[in-house]
Amino acid sequence: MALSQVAAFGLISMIAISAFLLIQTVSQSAQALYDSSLQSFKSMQQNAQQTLIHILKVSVSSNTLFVYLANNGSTNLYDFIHFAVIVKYYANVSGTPLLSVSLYSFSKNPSQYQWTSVYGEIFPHTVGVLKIVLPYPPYDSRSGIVVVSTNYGPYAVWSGAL
Amino acid sequence: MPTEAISEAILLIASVVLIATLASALYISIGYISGATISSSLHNSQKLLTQVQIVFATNISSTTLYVYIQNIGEYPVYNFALGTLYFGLENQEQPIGYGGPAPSWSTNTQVLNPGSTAQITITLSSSLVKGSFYTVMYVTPNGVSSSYTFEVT
Repeated sequence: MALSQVAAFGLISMIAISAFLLIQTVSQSAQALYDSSLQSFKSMQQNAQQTLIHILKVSVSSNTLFVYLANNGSTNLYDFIHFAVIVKYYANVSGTPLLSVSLYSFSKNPSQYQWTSVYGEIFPHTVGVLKIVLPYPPYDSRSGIVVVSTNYGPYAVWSGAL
Repeated sequence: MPTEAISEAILLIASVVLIATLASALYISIGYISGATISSSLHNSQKLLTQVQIVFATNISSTTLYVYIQNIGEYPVYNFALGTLYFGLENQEQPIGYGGPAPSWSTNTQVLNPGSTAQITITLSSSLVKGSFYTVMYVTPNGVSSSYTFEVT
């Protein structure tokens, strides 16, 4: 076999092998990336399916709401900083009812527009108490809405007179 | 004999040149395909880990509404204001533009990180009808959506 043929065959073989390896590496990387995301997605779905909360009752003391939250799922509720707590109510501002709709942030020592979990982590099949500090006391027995959404997605809504 | 050697040398050079041309074309194509494959995989992965939900929506006046959207996924929603918002009577939703004259929506959130909740304000040009059901839907810039239907009080 002539030298040029040997060289051509060798070079083509080398290029074909390197191209194949390159494609395989890229394909495996892409698949690994997707598989990793799929695992995280399944974990997210599983946590969401296993989380179930209900608001049993809401009581008011001046400008503080106490929300009794039942954890009827099988996940522990502790990532409170990633919860969403929203309160819609009529505030008593110098004797005048004023509609207030706000998102409340988590704090261990709550002040206005903040909330905390009185007993910390809420374990499955237990009832936790959320203390929500409103900017003003509720106007006498006007209707209000409290929404508590967990970091996993499932949420509970309570509506009634405050 | 020298003629054969010259021919062989010419063939060798021609082979190397042709194979080099072929190889560069092949590697460029593989580069494009690899880029597209990785990009597609990244996009799908990001979309899989992006999850938002509208937790609450309510009207605070006859032409103003608040909508609360929580990121319950594991991936931040970048350019939150570049998402699309639809609003209207149930099953008659229309897209609403960001900012500008009513009807429009606005938010202070640029990036909605996992676990965070954003407040959206919708300003309408005509009054809501009490007792009617309205639907709001938000679609993230990467195509993940959530909708919420509520009654105007």
